[in-house]
Amino acid sequence: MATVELLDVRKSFGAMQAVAGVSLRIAEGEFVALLGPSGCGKTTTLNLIAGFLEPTGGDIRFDGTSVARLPPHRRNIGVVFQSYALFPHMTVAQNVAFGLEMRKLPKPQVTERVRRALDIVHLGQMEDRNSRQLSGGQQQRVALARALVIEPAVLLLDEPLSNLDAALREQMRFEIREIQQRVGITTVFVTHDQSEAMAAADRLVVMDKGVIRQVGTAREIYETPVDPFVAGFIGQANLIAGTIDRVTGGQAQVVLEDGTRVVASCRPDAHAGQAVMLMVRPEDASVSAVAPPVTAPSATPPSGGNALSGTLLRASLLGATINLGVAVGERSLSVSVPRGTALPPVGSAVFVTWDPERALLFPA
Amino acid sequence: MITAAMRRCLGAYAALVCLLAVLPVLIIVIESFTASDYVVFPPSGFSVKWYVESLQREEFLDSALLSLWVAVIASVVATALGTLVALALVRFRFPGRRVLQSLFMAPLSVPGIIFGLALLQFLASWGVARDMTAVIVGHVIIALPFAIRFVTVALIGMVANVELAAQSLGASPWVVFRRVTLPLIRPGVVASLVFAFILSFDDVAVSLFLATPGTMTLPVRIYVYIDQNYDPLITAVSAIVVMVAFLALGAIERTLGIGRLFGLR
Amino acid sequence: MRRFLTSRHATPWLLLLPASVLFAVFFVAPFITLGINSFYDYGRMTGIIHVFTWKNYEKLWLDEYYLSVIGATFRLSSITALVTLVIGYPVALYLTVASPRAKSWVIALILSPLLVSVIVRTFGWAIILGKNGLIERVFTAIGIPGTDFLHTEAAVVVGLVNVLTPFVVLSVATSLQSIDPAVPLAAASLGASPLRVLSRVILPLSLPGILAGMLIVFGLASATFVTPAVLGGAKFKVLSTLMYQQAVILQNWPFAAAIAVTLTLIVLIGQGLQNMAAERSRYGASLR
Ligand SMILES: Nc1ncnc2c1ncn2[C@@H]1O[C@H](COP(=O)(O)OP(=O)(O)OP(=O)(O)O)[C@@H](O)[C@H]1O
Ligand SMILES: [Mg+2]
Repeated sequence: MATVELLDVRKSFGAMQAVAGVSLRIAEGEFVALLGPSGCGKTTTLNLIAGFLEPTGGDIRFDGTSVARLPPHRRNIGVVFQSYALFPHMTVAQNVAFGLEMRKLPKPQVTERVRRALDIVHLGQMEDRNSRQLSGGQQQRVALARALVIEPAVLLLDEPLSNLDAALREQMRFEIREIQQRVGITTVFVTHDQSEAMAAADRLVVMDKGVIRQVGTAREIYETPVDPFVAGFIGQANLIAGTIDRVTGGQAQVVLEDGTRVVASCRPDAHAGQAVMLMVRPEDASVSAVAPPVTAPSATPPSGGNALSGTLLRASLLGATINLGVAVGERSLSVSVPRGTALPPVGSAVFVTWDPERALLFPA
Repeated sequence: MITAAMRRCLGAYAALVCLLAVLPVLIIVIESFTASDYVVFPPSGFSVKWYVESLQREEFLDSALLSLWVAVIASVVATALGTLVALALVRFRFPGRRVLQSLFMAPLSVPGIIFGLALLQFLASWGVARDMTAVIVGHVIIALPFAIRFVTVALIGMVANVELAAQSLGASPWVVFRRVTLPLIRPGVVASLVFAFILSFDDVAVSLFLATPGTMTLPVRIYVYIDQNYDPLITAVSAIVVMVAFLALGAIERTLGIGRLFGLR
Repeated sequence: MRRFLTSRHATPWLLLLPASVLFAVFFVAPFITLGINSFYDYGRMTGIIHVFTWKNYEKLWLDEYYLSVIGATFRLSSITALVTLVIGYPVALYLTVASPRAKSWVIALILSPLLVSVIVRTFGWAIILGKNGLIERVFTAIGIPGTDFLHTEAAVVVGLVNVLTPFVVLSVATSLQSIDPAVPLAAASLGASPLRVLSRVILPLSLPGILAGMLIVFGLASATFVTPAVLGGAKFKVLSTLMYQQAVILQNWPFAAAIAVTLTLIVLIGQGLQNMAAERSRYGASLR
């Protein structure tokens, strides 16, 4: 249990800046998910917190005290590596017991806690297996048990569930969350899977090219992404370039590339003539075969009725939703509607519409 | 593209070359059982009298014992130092790393006889008497490149991040080494021990200049002997050397496979 | 300083310390001594005379007798390199087509003599080639008596080839291994006969391995002592045996040092060429 603070942390490998000034405060017992495209510096950030790497700039503090000079073995952390890093010369139980032995726990207690930890990850029967003989998913769970069993102050997980099947993954996610909350371990969780991050974490941290783009709850990030990158990375987004024509009461009229006028909610600092990027999430849009009633675009403040005409290219069922591809001019827009929605036939002319409240504008 | 017939020809040829490769060693071992008092091949009669004789020659026994000691100490020291160097070179990045790496490999490029002469002249210029320690130091230096190489290969082959994992679980650097690194590089360490032992036990070139009548290793003793004599005694002594080498070889084949030792898959 | 020693930046240096000290004192310093000594004078009565002179090098590089020894060294090393190649290449070729079992046998048999002291192997050849040896017995049996090969250049070549063939096999085999197996097949599919595939495709592609192997052998052969000393006899002189004679028997250390420096240069030039060959081709790179 500890607060973790990163203060303008930097790390370069030669000329390459892997982490370029990251500041973040993680509260005691908080569960934070680190997201970002491959190579954006997630693992490096985690390694800096763990102490495997020394920052080239900035400071890292646990509970307000700098840990810059503290080697990893004195930081009281638990780490699950992207590559598991199980000790190949030890059995499953010996792997899990290692950290407890380092803490000089009496033997009976070690045995007891190892057994409990293995039960939690559903490997109760595997104690004496050689760790080399396990499947990828099993190895990952041993690694998890090994990190959890020491009940560290800070738990660092580098894509710990990437090798599990969907069902086990959900279950393990739940278990991690459960233990984390019960023990109150401050946790940093790196993942590629945004739904996993959104489901498990208190806050998400979206990184790109070594810097943090946005920090916030899943809802904040999903509903009010700060830029097109975050919008596109968390969830899906249709992005269309345009120019603001006029701003009225928190809403702006935008002229899109092809000349269509639409309305979207905008920030207070938006002004006429500004080049912008319009974002509409697929599930906020819908299609219809007939044009919605349009009020004269230039006169009265428009209300609803944003519509782009195009051709329905495809409709694919993705379980609970149907994903539609609509060709509008040069671009293809993605629309997602609930299963069972009545649809015009593929190939027919359609209109894509959305509620102006749901559309966002970013400065281009 | 190589036809079956060609392949069979090549196979037969390879077998012939293999035979020639081991021929001198075979001849020595066979000849060592001769009953005659002079070298003649094929040997006449069968007897172990030359073994009996060689075991009664004190100078050979002393040399064998000395060689054994030198080889044991040199292989342990070379492996220990080589392990430290390999750890530094593989696990750390620091200025001058490349230079040090090639420096430690340099004995591979320098013929043993020249190194032996250099060491002899160096010790003499400082007035240091040659003794067993000098021979050991010489052998440690020629064995070190191999020790570094074997341990390096083992370190590179280690599963990623296990040392970091151990550290994160609270193990101090020393405990990490003892409980994780060392067990995982054991094959490389064993190979290094065995190879350094053989290298030292077989060496003539370096020891030739460093040996004194009191500290003559077995191969040097053999060289000096055949320089002046030509009789089957030395075949028996040599056969004993061969057996020691092959015991070591068996150990390598069991732990690693000899091809891998020389970098061939 | 204290802080440095306990920080992790100090760790590699602490690990390197013992070996570095050993190397500096007992490897680097001796070669410096050797270099210096090679420029000292020597008198039969006075021993080493500590005055600078080029005499040793002048003697070695200009005197006809010593030049002939340098020539003999080059000749011996070159012949050995050629013969090992001719003998080793087909074996390396066989390794690429052999079954895994046969392959491991050949490798073990070819390499295992490397683990037997060179003095023992050389003495084995003395028994084969010498008086009353295997060769003489065989030749006598077919009616050609008096064929004692010992103490000839040929005997030395035989001994060296036996010791050094493994290096050519390893080097060429590594090179052959890295040829894309589809390339010879492609040549065959274009109508090339097996022999043409060998001479036009496989041989050129393994050239880096051939070159590297020959240079390795050349370097090793030029500096071996035991084989020329035992199989060549007292009259057969190459640089290494000359050096031993000068250092141990005549006690002329400065001249021996000059020979050692010369020999080192020859070996290093061979190695430089070999590195160049290796860098020229991605195949050879795996050899070092
Ligand atoms: N030891 C290193 N030396 C040099 N560059 C490195 C090193 N470690 C990481 N990098 C570089 O730093 C950048 C960030 O790497 P990092 O491993 O943190 O990415 P990541 O976000 O974890 O990616 P992934 O999702 O693929 O695991 C990458 O461009 C990588 O190539
Ligand atoms: Mg990563």
